[in-house]
Amino acid sequence: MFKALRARGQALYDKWHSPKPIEDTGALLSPTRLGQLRLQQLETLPESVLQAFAPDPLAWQDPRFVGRELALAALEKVVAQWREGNGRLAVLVGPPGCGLTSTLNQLREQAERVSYLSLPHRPCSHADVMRLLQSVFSLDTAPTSTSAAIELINNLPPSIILLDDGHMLLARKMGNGAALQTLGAVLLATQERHCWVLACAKQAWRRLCFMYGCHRLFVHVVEIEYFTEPELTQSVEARLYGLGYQWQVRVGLKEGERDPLAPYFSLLHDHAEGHPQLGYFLLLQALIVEEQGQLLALEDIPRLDVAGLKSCADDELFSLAEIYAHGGLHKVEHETLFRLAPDQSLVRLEQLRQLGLLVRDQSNYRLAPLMAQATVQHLVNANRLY
Amino acid sequence: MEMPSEALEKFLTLFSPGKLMAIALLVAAAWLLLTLMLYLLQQLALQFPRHRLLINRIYPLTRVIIWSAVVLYAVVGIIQPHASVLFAIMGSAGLALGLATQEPIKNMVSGLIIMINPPYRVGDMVNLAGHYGEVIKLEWSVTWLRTFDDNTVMVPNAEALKTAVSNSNSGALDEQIAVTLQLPAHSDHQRAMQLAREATLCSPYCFLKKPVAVLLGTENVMGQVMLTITIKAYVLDVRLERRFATDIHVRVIDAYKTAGLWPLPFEPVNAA
Repeated sequence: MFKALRARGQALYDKWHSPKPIEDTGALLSPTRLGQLRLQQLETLPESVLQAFAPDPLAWQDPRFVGRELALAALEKVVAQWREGNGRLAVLVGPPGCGLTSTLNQLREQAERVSYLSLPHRPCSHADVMRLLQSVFSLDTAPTSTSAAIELINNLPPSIILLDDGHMLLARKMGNGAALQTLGAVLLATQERHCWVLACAKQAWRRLCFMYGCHRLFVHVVEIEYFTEPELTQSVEARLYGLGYQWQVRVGLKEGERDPLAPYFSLLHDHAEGHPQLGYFLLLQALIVEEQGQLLALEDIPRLDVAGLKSCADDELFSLAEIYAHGGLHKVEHETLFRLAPDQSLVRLEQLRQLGLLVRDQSNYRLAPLMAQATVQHLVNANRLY
Repeated sequence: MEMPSEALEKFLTLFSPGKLMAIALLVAAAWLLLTLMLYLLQQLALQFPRHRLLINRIYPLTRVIIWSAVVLYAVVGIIQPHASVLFAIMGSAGLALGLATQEPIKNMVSGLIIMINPPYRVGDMVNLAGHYGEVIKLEWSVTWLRTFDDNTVMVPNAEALKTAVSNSNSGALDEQIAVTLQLPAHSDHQRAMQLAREATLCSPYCFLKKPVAVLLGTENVMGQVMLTITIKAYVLDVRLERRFATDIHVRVIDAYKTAGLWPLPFEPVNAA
């Protein structure tokens, strides 16, 4: 009780001493304009700043990798336990865009051989699983049976296997259950020989647990979330560090004085809700770079306009929910899942794309990364996602 | 002793134009308040569909409370009758009303009981007095259902307390659906059960947080033994009940056709 009281007192003290919040007068950004705004950023901001905030996953020991220390330590402990002969399956779970691949990348340099594989397709048959194992272990031919695969894999030198894009394991398709049973059997039978670490989007992981009880196979579940306010601040600072810029409002700031940027970061975190990519995008939108003096300043931080989500019909919400849970759906997968005619399916997907809620990569549709969080909140609220 | 004419005169003085005006204003204010409240709750339910069952629960009981308060205040606060007049009116009105409106009063009391200790709430899927549908309105004396044929059915509340009520979701948004299919006795029942389960899990309306059960049974149909496959799964939202049941049918039949277990059950079984 004393601890709780002290924490409450500390919180009150911090609140009293924290800088005054700034007025939220940022513009509302329509999802349909985000692409255009991204292009404008490319024209107005220096290349080095854009590079620093690029959305690509961070490589091993990239100094911009911050805020995931606990998750990384937990994964390193899993690897250490495996080295001691106590190998168990591990999964890294988090919402899309929270840095799963970047975290996984931090394990890529080890004493043992490390295999990294981004799951290329959804397994829906025994043969799919065998092909997957062939890719993971670079085998000449795919194993013919589960027992043959287990025997073969257990005879290979020990290695750490990092499986990324675990959401690809999920498919609401006939045969997916049997395929995952096969894969599960192979993973369990080889977990002491090889260290398996899977990175999976949170929603897909929940579905896999509901449908096939995957949580019973994976003993170690390491969860990460979107950034907290200090983590987002630290991440922004790390990305700007070494570029030679200085914040204008911090010029002449004496030691011990309140950081004038803190209210801006607080607002940024509030608008992005900790989503790194969205946070960086909003920051770049508000950022003014004075090249001569190498100074940085911030305008009003904008926020996303999510009103368009309310115009979605019920069927469209179901499509969005399934696309999110699967981490993206191919046009044909969408047709099969909703039993739609090809044109009907295409119309629905394209309409959602026009609203700025989906992005298309060839014929694969996924939630627009910057709108993903708002979309998910809307889907949960509308009881279309759980 | 007071003469009847004097009593009548006293009674009439209770209802002066000013008091009647105050009562009218009070009723209008209560009506406005309830209309506004209903509008706001409807907006809230639209904004947060996930919590619509909880939000819809608020209105029926609040309306009863507000109207009871209005009546009480109008009598005690505005009309302010003498105790003897009040008791005389209450006695005679009670007797008259009791005799004349036995059924409505019974319904109203039942309505009050339903609101306080609800066997169902607004938004539940219930089987009430032989009608199956969603409870769309719960009034003091009647309950309104919307059936799947889009008919609106009014059921007196007394009926709800008199007969058995089957509630499919009991205040939750998800609901269990049972779909039964028949196959000839010689079919591969294990494969049929596995396909049924898998096809059900493929439906986007299936609530995966709750288990999907597939039950096997036998039935004698026109002298022929048939296997019955019963799929019990939960639908994400009670409003999607029929859509989900149809979806399961389509998916399972498709799976059976692909696996060669269909088209049956009426195909004659060869003795050989």
